[in-house]
Amino acid sequence: MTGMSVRVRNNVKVSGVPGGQAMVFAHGFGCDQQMWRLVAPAFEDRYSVVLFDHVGSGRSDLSSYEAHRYTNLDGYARDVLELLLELQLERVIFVGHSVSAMIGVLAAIERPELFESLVLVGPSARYVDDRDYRGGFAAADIDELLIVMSRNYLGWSAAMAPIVMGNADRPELGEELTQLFCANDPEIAKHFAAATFLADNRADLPRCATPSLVLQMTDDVIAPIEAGEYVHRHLVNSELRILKATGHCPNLSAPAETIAAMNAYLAAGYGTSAGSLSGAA
Amino acid sequence: MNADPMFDDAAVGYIVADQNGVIQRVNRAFLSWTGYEASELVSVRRVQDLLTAGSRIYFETYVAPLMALQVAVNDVSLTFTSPRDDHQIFTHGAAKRHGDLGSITAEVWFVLVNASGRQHFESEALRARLRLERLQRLASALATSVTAGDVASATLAEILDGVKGDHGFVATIVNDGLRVIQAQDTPPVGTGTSALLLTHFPEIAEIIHSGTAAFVESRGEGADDRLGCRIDGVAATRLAALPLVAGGRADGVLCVASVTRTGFDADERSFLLLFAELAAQSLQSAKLHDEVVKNAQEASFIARLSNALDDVVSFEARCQRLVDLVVPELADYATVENPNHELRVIAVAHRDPDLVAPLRELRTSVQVPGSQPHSLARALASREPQVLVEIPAEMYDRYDLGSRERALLGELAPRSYVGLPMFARGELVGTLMLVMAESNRRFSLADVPHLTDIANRAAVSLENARLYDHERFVAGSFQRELLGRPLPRDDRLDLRAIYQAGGELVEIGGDYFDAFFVGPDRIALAVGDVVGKGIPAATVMSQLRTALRAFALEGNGPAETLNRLDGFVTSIPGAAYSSVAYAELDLRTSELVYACAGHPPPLLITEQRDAVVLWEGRSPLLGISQPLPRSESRLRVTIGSTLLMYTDGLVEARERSLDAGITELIDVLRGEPSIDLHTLVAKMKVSDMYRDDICVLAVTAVVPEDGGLARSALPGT
Repeated sequence: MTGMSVRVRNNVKVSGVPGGQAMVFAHGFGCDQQMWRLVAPAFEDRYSVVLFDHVGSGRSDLSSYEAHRYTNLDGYARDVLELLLELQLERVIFVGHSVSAMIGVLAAIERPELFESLVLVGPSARYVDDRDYRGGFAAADIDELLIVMSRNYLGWSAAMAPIVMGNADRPELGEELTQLFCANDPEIAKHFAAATFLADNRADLPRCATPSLVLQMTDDVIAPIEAGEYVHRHLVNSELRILKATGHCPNLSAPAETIAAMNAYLAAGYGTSAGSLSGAA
Repeated sequence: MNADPMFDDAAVGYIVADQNGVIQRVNRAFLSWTGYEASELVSVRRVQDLLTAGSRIYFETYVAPLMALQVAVNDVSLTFTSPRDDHQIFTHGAAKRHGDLGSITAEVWFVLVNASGRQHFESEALRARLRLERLQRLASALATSVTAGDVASATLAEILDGVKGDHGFVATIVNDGLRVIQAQDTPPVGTGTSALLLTHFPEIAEIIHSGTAAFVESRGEGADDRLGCRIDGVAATRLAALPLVAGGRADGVLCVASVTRTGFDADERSFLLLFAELAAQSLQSAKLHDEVVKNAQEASFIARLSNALDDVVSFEARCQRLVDLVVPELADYATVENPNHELRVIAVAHRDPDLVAPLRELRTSVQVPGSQPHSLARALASREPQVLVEIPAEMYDRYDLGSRERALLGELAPRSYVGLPMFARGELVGTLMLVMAESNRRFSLADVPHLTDIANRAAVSLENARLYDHERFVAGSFQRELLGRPLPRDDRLDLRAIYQAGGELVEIGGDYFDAFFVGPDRIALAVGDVVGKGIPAATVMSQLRTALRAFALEGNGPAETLNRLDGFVTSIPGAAYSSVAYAELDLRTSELVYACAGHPPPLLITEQRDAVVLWEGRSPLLGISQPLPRSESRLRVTIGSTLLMYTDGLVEARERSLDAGITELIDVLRGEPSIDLHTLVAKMKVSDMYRDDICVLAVTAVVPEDGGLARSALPGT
């Protein structure tokens, strides 16, 4: 990228052990890095914890959003690689929720040496059904999602405009903003929805050899069990673990179980290297 | 939980769910909207399970995380489906979490207002907004579109996206055919629009001419199978064919087809009609632009063609230039052939250099059938261009071809053909054959006017070259015949002459030389230059040469011989203004008498290579000085000296004056051990396509074997 640093562009937050092995958390479609607030702290005692917002989400730099770069997941994967390079991180443990699971897979295919392992929370290589493949949705469902998003955003502009524009003389708005979680730009969010739900990354799975943990939730309406199993079957070096947690966001609804599953996987040797080789920034 | 009228009887819908969304309590309003029984829901179903798919994704990705993060969520639109008749209930509401996140007792309370009544209005507003956004995008894309291709591709992108079409194309009428400007196909179905167009062209042409859009479904009740078609083996489920009407005239069509979705609803139809109208207007101006650009390109091609052809002289070179210029820009391969020409296949060019030889072999070996079905024969007979947009595979079966020819044909793989007869002044100059092969391009009838222009322009140029070649050949033979006669032989003389024709862009000139005895010991030497070129100059030259001989043989001497020639040239058209240097050398006395009529001065070079320029005995060109007597000059030459007479071509050039030329000539002569005329000409010659003829005559007085200049016998002339 040119000009702006990745730290600003992706609202990067680093905590935990300085110089320790990096654990990079990537949020999925719909929210931002706040999704990890109940999970990430549990790793701060052993790892350098890196949180960020995808461009167009959360507090990322909206001016960096270029529609053509983000028409598919490759653009987001490139952002992840740029983030690792700017922070000089190698052999990271990449934790991706929802669509970020596939973003992590794409990034690991591109630069395998930067990744020690992947933790894929609720992954799906394709959300739309295709012949014998079950992704859980029809193409028309994704059309409807975009309409639902539009309907829910009808009042968004009015609420957000003064805050986005900045009002130094009204500090209470800043306070309000911190309360507005997942307040994403509606137009960008719709593009992100299309990039996410119309993606087909099934052919990419066999190309990724990075050790991976697939965390599959019980009764996840976004990524059904078949989708998780499909990812596990086609990722050569993966382990599948079914969580008791229901819904699509165990990082919020079942943080303890999520943390425990991750710890078990890391303890088995997929995240024990002694710190980042090049030293963290 | 006890009955609470504020909960149970409220006009709003209430749902209480646990933190996973499992319904704990639900009120009557929600049950009556949706048609569920409480027992079907409580402790059994989750709130998200009751939603439409789109709402469910939104709930999971936005509402649920927000509930976890910030306790309450306001201003949420969710759509529920009824299990009874599948109808949808649009709600607007808020949710609030009671209890800590993760606590087993935490609950989420939903308050929902049935907004189905407003939904229609809202959906309309939303659709209108999306439509407007799309319209704005298309308008701005069209505003920056310059070519018809830009317009078509911008329109197709928005339309296919707007109605979820799988295939689309924009085509316009060109002459009597349809030409696809742009086609777009969505994978994985592949590229089927061209096939669609070809197989259904008659219907599409009808639609264009009627100016009325057709919306066709090939399946379902009341299906209209008029356009029922398959695209790459997949049945099209619906197709819209929209005539592109601008300025009251339909001259194109926009087609959109789907292979999965069925039917176009009223909204989609009005959207398609609106966009087709917008596209038609832009397309009209883009086509005008394209036409201007095309005309300019064609004019520039004709100009380039003219320059390139005129740059070379011979007929065959121009034929080669022609095919080299049209390949690959206008054809994949091309030939110029003429059944009456000795070569028959005069020039060939192929974009693939490896296929030039096979092409030549095929065209040389295949006899052009005289029968009418053969397009080349037809072109020759009708004098009209012949076009085969698509060469039918079975066409060659009609010809009597050997296995070698079939193999060559297979290698060349012609797909589309234009044969252009080239006539000039009523004469067949040749045929220009243009073929499309590997590039997959096709000729269309629209190409014919431009290609005909090219053929006509080339025909004139080729005919000129052919005439020029002919004249050059005739004049050349004439001159060779005249100048090729043997020079007189005498052992007191070393007599040499050379004639070299001018550059290839210059016609044969009128330079000449002559040497003959006018007495037993007296040799006459002449070098002259006739004005003009080609056959007329050669004719004058021969007459002048004969006259000069006659006057000289009368024993007039140089000055008087020139005086008489003055009288003669006035009676011969084209002979005036000729120049000549004439000298007589007495082999007994060694006296040289010479006179020059407007001719470069002869040189006398001693055995020691000292050169004297013979500037005396000068008078004007023949035919302009009749009243004035010509002068002559005399001097004595020594044995071993050489007299050099020449035409201006030896010393003059575009970049060299006469004086400078003579100085250079003297320098060259000084450096040469012997005076060899070929070497001399080679050293003096400028390499220039426009250089003049060169004629040089040299005579050296030598000591005869009997030791004296005395001579009794007359040499045979």
